[in-house]
Amino acid sequence: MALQSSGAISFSQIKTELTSSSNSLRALSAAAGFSSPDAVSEFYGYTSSLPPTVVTFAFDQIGETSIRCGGAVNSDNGAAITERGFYFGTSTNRASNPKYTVSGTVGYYTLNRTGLSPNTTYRCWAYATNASGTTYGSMVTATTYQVYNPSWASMYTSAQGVFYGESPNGEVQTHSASYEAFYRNPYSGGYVQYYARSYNQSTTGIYQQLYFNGGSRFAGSPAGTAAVNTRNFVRLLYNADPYGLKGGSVSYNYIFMNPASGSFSNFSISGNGGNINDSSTGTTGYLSVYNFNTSDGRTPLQLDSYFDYA
Amino acid sequence: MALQGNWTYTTQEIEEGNFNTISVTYPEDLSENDPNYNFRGQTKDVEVPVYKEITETYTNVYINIQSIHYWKSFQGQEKFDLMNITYRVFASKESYLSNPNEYLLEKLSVAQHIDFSKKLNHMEQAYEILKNTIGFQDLTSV
Repeated sequence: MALQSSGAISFSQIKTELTSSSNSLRALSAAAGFSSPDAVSEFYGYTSSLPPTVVTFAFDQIGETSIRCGGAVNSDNGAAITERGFYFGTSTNRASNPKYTVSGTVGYYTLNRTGLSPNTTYRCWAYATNASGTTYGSMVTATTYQVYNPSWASMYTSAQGVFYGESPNGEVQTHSASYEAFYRNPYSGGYVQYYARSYNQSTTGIYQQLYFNGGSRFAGSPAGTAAVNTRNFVRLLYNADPYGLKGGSVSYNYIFMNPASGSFSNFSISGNGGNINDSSTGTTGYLSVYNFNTSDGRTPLQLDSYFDYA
Repeated sequence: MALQGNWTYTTQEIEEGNFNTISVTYPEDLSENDPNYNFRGQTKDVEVPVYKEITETYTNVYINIQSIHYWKSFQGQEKFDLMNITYRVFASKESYLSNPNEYLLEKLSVAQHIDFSKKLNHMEQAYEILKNTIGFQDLTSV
């Protein structure tokens, strides 16, 4: 057996020579950097596949100590996906961050990260690997919120108890068919707002109460703030509901505000909602809303009670 | 400037008591301050909660950014430019044109980084961020 030293060598001749002699094959493949080629195509370094196509999505579900990474393997480009996941961490150098593998092959995938540091910038790269190599999506960046612990007031609905304390900024902390509550972290920008929202999917005869236990809130400033510009008001959100729970019109509703003095202040709103401001509310009280009727027979009514400081 | 097409909105709930195992490989060059410093260069299996995804798909909607809120995050000596994006989802472009307050949903994308090196203005970057968010893949700029 010998290879021709001059003149044209056809592909079939090489193939014949290589496949007819295991010794030559081993020698040549070793010289080419392959330890045990199992196909002629491999010997020539030829492959019919390419590394995967991968994208990294923008972060979402961002909180004080949590974040969600998203990525997608849009194509395996001809070879099965053997691994996919994310590089995630604080370093701008991808390889200096931990690598998280996520099961699956082609398609979109996510990774929820918790226990993160507040007010910290995180980076993420999606990646995927097939027999032809690894592809890394572009880097995406986002920052967790700074922690804000409102320890100076409490507000809760009749159904749920104290609602705040650990809630990430502006995100719904508790939610059910009848209530949800959250506060907005001032480090998300703007001012502090506490919300308690009671609502009901029914359209008639609703009775909801929002309790305020705001003694310290009304008595003084939250820690670390110089001045408080308190307002305490009830807003019935209906047509202007920012969460899309809207439609129809309110035919009747009524709100009581009960300050600590025990005397009721009565308010009535008709039409499509509105705001009630009562800056004279005492230290503790409750709000009651009842007898909502809607014209469309389906719209959840809401009472938003919140207070804020500038 | 707006986005149009099919949009999927996803929320998550933790499936109590259910866990997945994922593999985490820690880099060799973790700093000593890193809580996983002792695992540098190693691969560990970690249990994580299972998140149930609830998706709602909206067909051929028109998405318009209502507002952006630009702010800064100070982290030691570093400073980052961030923005919150409020966007509205309309049943159609016609719906938006007839009454911009008659939207189906209003949503928020928070704490997204502004990259001035892209030489895009804030609104252009906001749309770019949305387009690169899960659920927006079938939307095109209009």
